[in-house]
Amino acid sequence: MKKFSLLLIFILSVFVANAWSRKIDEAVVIVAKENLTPEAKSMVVKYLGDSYADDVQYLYALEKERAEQLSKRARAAAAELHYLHLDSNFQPKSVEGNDALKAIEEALVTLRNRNTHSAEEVTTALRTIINLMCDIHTISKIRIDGIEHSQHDFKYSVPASEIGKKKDDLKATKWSRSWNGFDGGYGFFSANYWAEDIQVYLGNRYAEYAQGSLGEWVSENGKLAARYLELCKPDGVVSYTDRRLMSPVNYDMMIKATCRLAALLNDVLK
Amino acid sequence: MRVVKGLVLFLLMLTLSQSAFAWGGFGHGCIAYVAEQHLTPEAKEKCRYYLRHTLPYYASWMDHWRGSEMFKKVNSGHTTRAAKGGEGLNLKSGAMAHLVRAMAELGDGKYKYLPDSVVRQRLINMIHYVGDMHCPSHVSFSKKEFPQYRGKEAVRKGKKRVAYHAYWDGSPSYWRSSWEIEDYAKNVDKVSRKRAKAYQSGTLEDWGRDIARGAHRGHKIYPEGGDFAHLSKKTKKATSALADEMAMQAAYRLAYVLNTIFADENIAVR
Repeated sequence: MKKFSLLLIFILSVFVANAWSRKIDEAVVIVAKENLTPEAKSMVVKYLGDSYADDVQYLYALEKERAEQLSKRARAAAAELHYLHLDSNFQPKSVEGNDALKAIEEALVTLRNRNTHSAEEVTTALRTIINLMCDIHTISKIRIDGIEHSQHDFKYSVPASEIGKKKDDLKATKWSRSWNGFDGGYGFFSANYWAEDIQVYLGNRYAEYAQGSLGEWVSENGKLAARYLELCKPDGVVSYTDRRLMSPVNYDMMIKATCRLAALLNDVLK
Repeated sequence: MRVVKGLVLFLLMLTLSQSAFAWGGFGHGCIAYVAEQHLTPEAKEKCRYYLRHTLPYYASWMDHWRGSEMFKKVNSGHTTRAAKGGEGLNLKSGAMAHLVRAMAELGDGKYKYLPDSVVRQRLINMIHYVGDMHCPSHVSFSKKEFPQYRGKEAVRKGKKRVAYHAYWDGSPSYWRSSWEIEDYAKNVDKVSRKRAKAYQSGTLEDWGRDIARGAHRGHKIYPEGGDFAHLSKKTKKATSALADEMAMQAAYRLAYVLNTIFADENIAVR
């Protein structure tokens, strides 16, 4: 019974694993809101209200709620919604099932034709874009043709001084875990404080980060993911410094997600 | 055989003490957050200009990066040696020496003549090391003068053993698992103006004497060999009181140093 319960928890945790934490997603949305045009902002407030607390991880919450009713295969298929699928040239791949980019594009169509849709459909479209823009900027949520993407472990070197040993050692970590959070226990940052930090970092560089199109962004994200998938092969060893550098890279992706989310909404809610 | 065992234990303790993170991510983050609340507007603006982040973002940076190739060779002293007699700190050692150096390099308006990257790194050092030097377990007393401070039995925490060093490193977060940095500031930063002035006044030698007194108290309070889950109310209260008092000293002093460095008049830093 205990084994079965553990297995169930493991399966659920794999299939409803969040990309970034709820706080990060919330911070992304708080700062994105600051960069909306008055027109886009009033539209977002009209459908979502002033607070985004329940919207930032709407899809995850929904899936969690449904998970118990779905078969293992159905859950796996549903989870694909959070993944970006690219071909070997880092171009969006035509996918039959769920795909983050496909869902964002469909939601954008709904928002463009919002006058012909119910308020509920527009609300869901907005929530979908908010949720999935974070996902497509999470390195571990990007799948590229021809590259091994399993939730593999990889090893990185740890200096002796860090682990109280005489010799340097190797430590194993999960590929997805390395991208879903930030090193150093930033768990004590509230969403509001994350937002403040993002604003300090961003300064007046919104336009610089918001440049480009959705297609260009996903391709750029794919190239970055490929670089790290190559670096973090299950049979290789990542240097301590490279492992540490994943944290600022992840931070930069968070800034990109913030600005690009605002740019998409500013464009579609004209 | 007993000598060999003692030597092994001593070496183990030495390596463990070097590998531990003073205050942990939470404590360092809280100190930086409280300090930030007490910065003058111009000091806050300048810190954010150079750091491109908030102070708490960099609070544990020196711990995260100290094992990387870039810093490995220059990483010395997260711990400060007590002065002879144990009534003050040796200003030429460890964390205290980092503060003295950074103040000398940036003070008297000298920061204006340095490249931004140099100022940034010195700020990162100070944000971390001012916290480090106020951690009770980051003051090392002479083995000859204080043999009773060595070889203490660890506190039991479930299946884990929490050594003296780790006990104080984690102390700001004990019994406050859900707190974020704002919660800490709201509940702990109740320092009166008079007390704040007392923390900030005096020379570095005076600060060192305060810190050394706190470190001695740390040894008295430590529940050697106890069970963490069953600590007495008195021990819990004394642990949190000392941790908070020293964290507040660190926060107010960090704010003072930064305010002084970035004051318009460029008052000489002592």
